[in-house]
Amino acid sequence: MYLWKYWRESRIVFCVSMLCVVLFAWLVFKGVWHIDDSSHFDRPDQAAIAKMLMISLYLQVPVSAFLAWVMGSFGVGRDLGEGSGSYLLTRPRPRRWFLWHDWGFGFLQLVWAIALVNVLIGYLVHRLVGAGGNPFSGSVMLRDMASPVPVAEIIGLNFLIIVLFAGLIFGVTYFSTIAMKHARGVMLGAGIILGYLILAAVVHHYWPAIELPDLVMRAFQTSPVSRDPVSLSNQLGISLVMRAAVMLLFPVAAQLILERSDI
Amino acid sequence: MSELVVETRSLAKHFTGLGQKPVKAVDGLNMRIERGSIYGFVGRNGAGKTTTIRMLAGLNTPTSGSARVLGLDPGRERMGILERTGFVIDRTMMPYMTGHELVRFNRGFFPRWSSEMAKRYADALEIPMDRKFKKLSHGNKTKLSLLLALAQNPELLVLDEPTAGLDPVVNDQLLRVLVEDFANDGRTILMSSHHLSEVERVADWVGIIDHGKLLLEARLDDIRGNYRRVRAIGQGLPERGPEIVTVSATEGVFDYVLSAGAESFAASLRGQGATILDVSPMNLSEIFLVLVGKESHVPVEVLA
Repeated sequence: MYLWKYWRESRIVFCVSMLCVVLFAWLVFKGVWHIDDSSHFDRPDQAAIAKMLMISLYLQVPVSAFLAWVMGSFGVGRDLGEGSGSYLLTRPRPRRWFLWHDWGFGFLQLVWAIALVNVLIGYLVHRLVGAGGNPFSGSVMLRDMASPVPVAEIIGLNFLIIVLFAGLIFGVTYFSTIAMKHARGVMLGAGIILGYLILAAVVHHYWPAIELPDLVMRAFQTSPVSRDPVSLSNQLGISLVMRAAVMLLFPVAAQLILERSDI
Repeated sequence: MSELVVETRSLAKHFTGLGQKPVKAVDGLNMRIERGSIYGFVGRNGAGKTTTIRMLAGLNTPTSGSARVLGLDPGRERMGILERTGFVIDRTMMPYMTGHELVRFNRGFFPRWSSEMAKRYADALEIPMDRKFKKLSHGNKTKLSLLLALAQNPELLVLDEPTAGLDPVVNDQLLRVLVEDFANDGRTILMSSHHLSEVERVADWVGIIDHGKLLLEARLDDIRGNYRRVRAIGQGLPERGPEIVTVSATEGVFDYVLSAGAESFAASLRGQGATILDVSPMNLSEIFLVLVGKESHVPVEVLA
């Protein structure tokens, strides 16, 4: 029943986001771009498809960030702000139970939305690759790679990268609403993210040797001149695990605050 | 000795802010509530009632001291307390949920939840259950909060200012439900209030708190039976004594408030040559004003 509460709060945002995905799919396949008409794409080259996969990753960043930011404002932090926190937290469950249910369900909604977008992108690429009679049967050759990379692998990687990024934004926002005991914590969350971006830019400008990690993990290494993807990034597995750990730090920190604070 | 449902020992809660002096919201509170009693926890606004209740619910952590609710520690055994206790504290719930949705939301949390009771109280208290919480009137919000607490089927009901801002009809409805339905089953109610007449109507125990300290805790009948105002005329009459709560002297008339032994005290005054003008009983409002030291500043009828 508690999950129903989170759903009740987030359903409008979630349904609007699903509607946007469906609209995007319609535009792509039946609407303005007429993907069904393969004559438009009779010669997609390897580099163009690789670049499109890379761009599709970055196109998802602002949309998923906004969705994660809004979704992070639901749950216990909002209740604390609206005065229903003492009511909610006198239901016989540990405070962490409420927190992890919020976080888990919200994260699951994000994962679902991101998965749907990536399935659509995968389908689009499959159609393009198929239309061009690609000799690698659903794979893409990157310039500096010894062997072609399956499109499914790149799409899967994009999906994981966006999930971790959105999970981070979601966690930061959720943490901020708990820390501020108010849904206004979404502004603090945005401030934290923006602050990090400014810090990274300042560090990069004054101390170029120091490189702070990007908020979005880099899936590809790019050519310094053309910015085209030339290979997959190194040590992707380790990066994914580390980013997953960072993502989980925020709900854990929110739990520590919630369990120690007066309501 | 009766079983204690709530017991606090030197319970304290101090709030500190940056650059500010700590506020002692609760300051060494020793409170004992027996099973089956209706305990009126009275005090002025800001006396420490709500903070005490929040500590009992495990919402606030005490600065020092300890509390036991149903024999359990609110800090470490909160779940056990919350399963068996109905707390009505802020009366603010999820604004977008209707009464029916709040009932559905709640029932999964409580093993002893009674849907039949929820329906009965919804009918009896005439709560529009299909209306969103934010659209309910203040009185209906309070009634719905009480319904949800009662349908938990708790052993202990803790209500923070349950009748604040209610009209007399709703007030009467709520008090009837509490006394005739809930407390008649031998269950315990802790009810904070600053409406003394209402506490006097329903409570059998009273605790008076001021500035975070419990000034008095006793059976209401004992308080009524023992507290007396004695007025006497005389010279050099005593100003201190074990039973003297306050004394004031104006133009040779001594006005005593005694916590016990009024008749023997009056006899001893007569022995000292005093003339006793009257020995009169006191109601809870008068006793409250005397204890919080505001008798001369606030007319009794304001709170009576």
